[in-house]
Amino acid sequence: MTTTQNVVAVQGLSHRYGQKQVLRDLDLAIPEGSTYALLGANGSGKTTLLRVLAGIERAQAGSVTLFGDSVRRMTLRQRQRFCYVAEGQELPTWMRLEQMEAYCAPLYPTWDATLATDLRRRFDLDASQKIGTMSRGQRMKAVLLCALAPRPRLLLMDEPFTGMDVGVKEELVRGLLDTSGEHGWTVVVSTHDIAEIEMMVDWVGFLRDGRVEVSAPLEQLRDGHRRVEFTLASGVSLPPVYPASWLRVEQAGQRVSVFGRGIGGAAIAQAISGALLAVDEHEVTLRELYLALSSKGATSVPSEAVA
Amino acid sequence: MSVTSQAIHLLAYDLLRTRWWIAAFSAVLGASVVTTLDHSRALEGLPYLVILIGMITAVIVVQGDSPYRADAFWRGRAVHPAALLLSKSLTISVLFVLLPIFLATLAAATFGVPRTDMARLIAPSVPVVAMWVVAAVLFAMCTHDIKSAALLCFSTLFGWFVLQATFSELLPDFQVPPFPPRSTAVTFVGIAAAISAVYLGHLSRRKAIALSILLAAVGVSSTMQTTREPAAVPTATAISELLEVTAVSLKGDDNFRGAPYVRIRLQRERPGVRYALSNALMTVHFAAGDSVSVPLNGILEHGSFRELVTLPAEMQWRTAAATASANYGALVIPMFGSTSAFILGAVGANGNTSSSAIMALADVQLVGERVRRDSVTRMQVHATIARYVLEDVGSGPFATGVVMRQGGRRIVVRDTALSLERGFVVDITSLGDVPKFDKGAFTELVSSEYLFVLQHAARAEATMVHQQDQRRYDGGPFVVPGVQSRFESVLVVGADAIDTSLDPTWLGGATLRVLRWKREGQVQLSSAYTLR
Repeated sequence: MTTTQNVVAVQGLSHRYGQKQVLRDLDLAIPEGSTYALLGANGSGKTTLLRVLAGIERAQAGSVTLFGDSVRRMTLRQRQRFCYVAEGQELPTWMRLEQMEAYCAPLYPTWDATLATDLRRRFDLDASQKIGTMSRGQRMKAVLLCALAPRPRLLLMDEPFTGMDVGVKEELVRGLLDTSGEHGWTVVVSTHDIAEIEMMVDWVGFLRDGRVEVSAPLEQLRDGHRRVEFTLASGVSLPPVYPASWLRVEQAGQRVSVFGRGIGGAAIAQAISGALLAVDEHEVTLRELYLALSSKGATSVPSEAVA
Repeated sequence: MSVTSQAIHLLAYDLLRTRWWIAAFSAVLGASVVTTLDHSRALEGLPYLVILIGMITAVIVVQGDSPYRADAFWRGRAVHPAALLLSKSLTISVLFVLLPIFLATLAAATFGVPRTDMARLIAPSVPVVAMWVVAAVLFAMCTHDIKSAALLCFSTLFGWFVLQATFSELLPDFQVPPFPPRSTAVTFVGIAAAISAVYLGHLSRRKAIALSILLAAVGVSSTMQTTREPAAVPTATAISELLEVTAVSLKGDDNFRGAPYVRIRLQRERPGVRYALSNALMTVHFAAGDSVSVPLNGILEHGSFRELVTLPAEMQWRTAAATASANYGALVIPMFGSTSAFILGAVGANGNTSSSAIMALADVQLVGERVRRDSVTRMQVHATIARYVLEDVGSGPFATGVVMRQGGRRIVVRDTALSLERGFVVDITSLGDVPKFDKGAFTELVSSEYLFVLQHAARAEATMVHQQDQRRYDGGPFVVPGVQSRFESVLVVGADAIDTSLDPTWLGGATLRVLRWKREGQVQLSSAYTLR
């Protein structure tokens, strides 16, 4: 993918807070129109990366461009092309929702009042309600409304669903999916709510220790990975050293689940030199991918986990 | 939307956000202005409340869209940092500069101040206001929430109040020096630049705070330094009098509570002239060849120990004391009190009116011990003599409600219900014409500048009245700029100086004449004496 097709292009980005190195020589490219899930453990650098992309933190080393323009000195026009939403973001609690909309609208020449009304209806928000009296979920909906109504070409979201109940998460994801998907906007979302965003993302990036370890289309990752469940025949046991393609192994008695790259029933039977009973091959979920990629090498999970 | 129009958009929301605070600020500010004009005593604490509300409002404006917090709402919106900086600057300017100036202008207009004098009257308050606002903005930057910042504002203001109260208790005549323009400008511009750099992302919050504290320290030390150094006051060309030391006591005597003193006499006095002594310093030379300088407790005599005010003959006074001044070809009216005779105990060795005078006492004791032990060969006395000439402000019938104006000052006779216990009441409200801070001497209160004479033209009699009670009123920086002082009660105590009683008949035909001591200049004098 060439640079011109990438909304976000990061090369050699490094950033530290005092003595703590948060981002290390990070490279990243996010194609236009994608919904990109930025995954990683706590402290892996997701928030800092998003802040640098939004121009909140200044990159200490490396180059960062949005739409081909450096984020170092963004003009007003460049700022109008994206919105940034973060969990715990301070909100003008003294405003009513309609005031917050009126506050945001003039900041964007692309503000779509019809879309705002539509989102307000979809999210079941009261325009006259004060932000300070809204529930956590309502506040995030209000923020999302103000982030989507400008029709941004890029939406940066940092842990937007944290602490919300499943219903609200579902509602937000639906709203986000429908709106951004319909208009072909690029969405970059950092979250731990992997199950909720699985249906909306098409690209995934894994951060570990300030570096992007994997950045690829979700389908491509799925195609390369499988989860195979089987029962070991009597007298057969798993090898003491797992093959490198086995990324995660779970065992409960004779029942075994292996998650791995390019694996299948036949390959596993060959690896353990024994017959497999009741073999089931599954497509992997994003959660499984995350767990496998965020662990270093194959891990064996206690039997209770499978049970 | 350009940066400018975005700034105006944000400003509108800041005004909306702080509307109740602005209303409170305006109400208290307005009340403060009104009470200043009305001379109400009950609401003297209002300026502090005005400052406090103003500072908290500034904090809300700054912290509402924090320039340094990554989770501030504006961070996620298409808001240019320059627009945010511009909008905050505009908001603060509108609230804390334009609004007070507008009210001050209204007040000044009520006072009848000429339009040409408005700018001169109002301008001195701007740096004072700016400093408080900058302090509030800094507090907003130092803290993470409005409560902490408000607590910091309150503590600072309370500390300032205690400091002022302590100073006014210890040094009643001390006035807080105005900010020297150059160092004030450097400090203000420096801190404002540091804050701006935080908004624009060029400087971290911590570095900006550290830099601001450094600049503030430099500004304060610069102010103190300027205060210590003698002022460049034009030398009075007419001062030709000689300084004569008539008595010296290094060991002190009972007249001055045992404190060392020097009695100084000025020769060639002329009518309508008054002198003020300051910075009196004595250098004692010992037989061993070394010398020590100490500040003096001294007294300035005018002709005799009993202080006299000599009025120019051309004013054609006639009083019972006229013969006493025949040698001068003028009339002399005795005046009780100590307007120009004063103890210099609070004047430090370097002339500053600060607490260093307390330290100087130790020096005096040391010298006293040394004098008792070693022989003194010679001593020198150095002093600054300021000369004041009497100016005729005007006269009018002695009646309640009579108003006289002098420059930006308004003199109002409030009450003529004369009695020996109470006297009559005069208000003097000053708008701007405040004596410049004299780094080498006490700054005199407005009250001590004025003399009041009751004269009865038909009977060719006059008497001088002496102020008994005075009260300073400092309006504070957010109140009408320039309203600095007033005093209100003048008690007749000179009635025995003329052969008549101030009965209603006499007062019915009386005219109140107001005179004012106008500072003409100062001169440094020194005199050497060899002791026998």
